[in-house]
Amino acid sequence: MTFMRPLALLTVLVLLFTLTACADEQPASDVPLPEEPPVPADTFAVVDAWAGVASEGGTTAGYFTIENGLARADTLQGVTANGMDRIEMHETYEREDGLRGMRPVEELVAPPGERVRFAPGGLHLMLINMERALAVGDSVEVTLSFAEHGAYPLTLPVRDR
Amino acid sequence: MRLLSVLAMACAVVLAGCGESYDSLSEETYPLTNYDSTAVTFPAAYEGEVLLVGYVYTQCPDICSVITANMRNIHDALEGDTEGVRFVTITFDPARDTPAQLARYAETFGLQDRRWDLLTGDADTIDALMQRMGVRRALAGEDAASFDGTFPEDEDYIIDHTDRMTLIDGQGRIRDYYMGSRMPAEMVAEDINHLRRERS
Ligand SMILES: [Cu+2]
Repeated sequence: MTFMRPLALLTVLVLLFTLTACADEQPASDVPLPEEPPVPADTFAVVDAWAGVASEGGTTAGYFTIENGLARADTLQGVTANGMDRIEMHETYEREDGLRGMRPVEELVAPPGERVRFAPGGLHLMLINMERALAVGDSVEVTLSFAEHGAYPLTLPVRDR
Repeated sequence: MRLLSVLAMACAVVLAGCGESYDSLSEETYPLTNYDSTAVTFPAAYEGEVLLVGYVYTQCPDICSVITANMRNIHDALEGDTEGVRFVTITFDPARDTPAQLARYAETFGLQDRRWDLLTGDADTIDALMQRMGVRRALAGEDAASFDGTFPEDEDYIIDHTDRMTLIDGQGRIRDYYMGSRMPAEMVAEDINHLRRERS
């Protein structure tokens, strides 16, 4: 039965070739995020705010990062703004069937000592039916409302994605 | 002899996967409309061109914007050499995404001066094309299997959908699929260049 050995080896080689030759389903890159500095202590801030470009009557998204350096959690309970039909907190998520879905988020806890990121492909503000177009150089004023911190006015400069 | 047949099967897989039998759209006809309201027969209108196709709806400001921005990055990665390549965005929300709405979207994202078409069509054609391209859709939170290609009339719905781009060669053959929002731009640009070299 020793004559089977080279054949088995050949089979393995061919299978390997099969796998590498057709390995065209490249996965998303998993570049590790750079080490980030700790959340500044004893301060509560919302940073890195921006909004996407929009056409008049169009819908766009807003993003920011909550840095809660305080000793206790806070909860983002809502957002208000002028200049659009309405504004909502949303989340883009991967459904069990693999589809990318979007759903409203009623409130969001910002744990002590942590960052909460609103970023493309995840949590976002949904700015629905803008009264005027938004281009780079424009900005949008919104007010976040936190359970502990209260009203938090925020300017979202418009970025070209 | 069992190993020999395994070997034969493995060879068959190699040939089927990388050889002649690409899934081809060349015998199919989807009458669509570009954002400037001109008629486009997909994919015949693009014969001879390498196509990168993305699927969005314009009321989706988060993930769809990421897909369009990623396609724009791929366009940028070609460094101005877009000879023989066409970027195509097809909406799966034809009720709201009229040619005029797609024109606003093109302007917002700065796509008009590129080799880039934004296509819509009647609901049945779009539904058939999306099924053909494996782009599943569902009303927010609902089962994709129960979706029949029509949307509510309230103008205020959210569509959950497959996150996808498709690479099609000059003969209308599907050559690759990518995750639209996450596939690194440089890799897709390389694949486009590979198909362009193959063409010449
Ligand atoms: Cu949203």
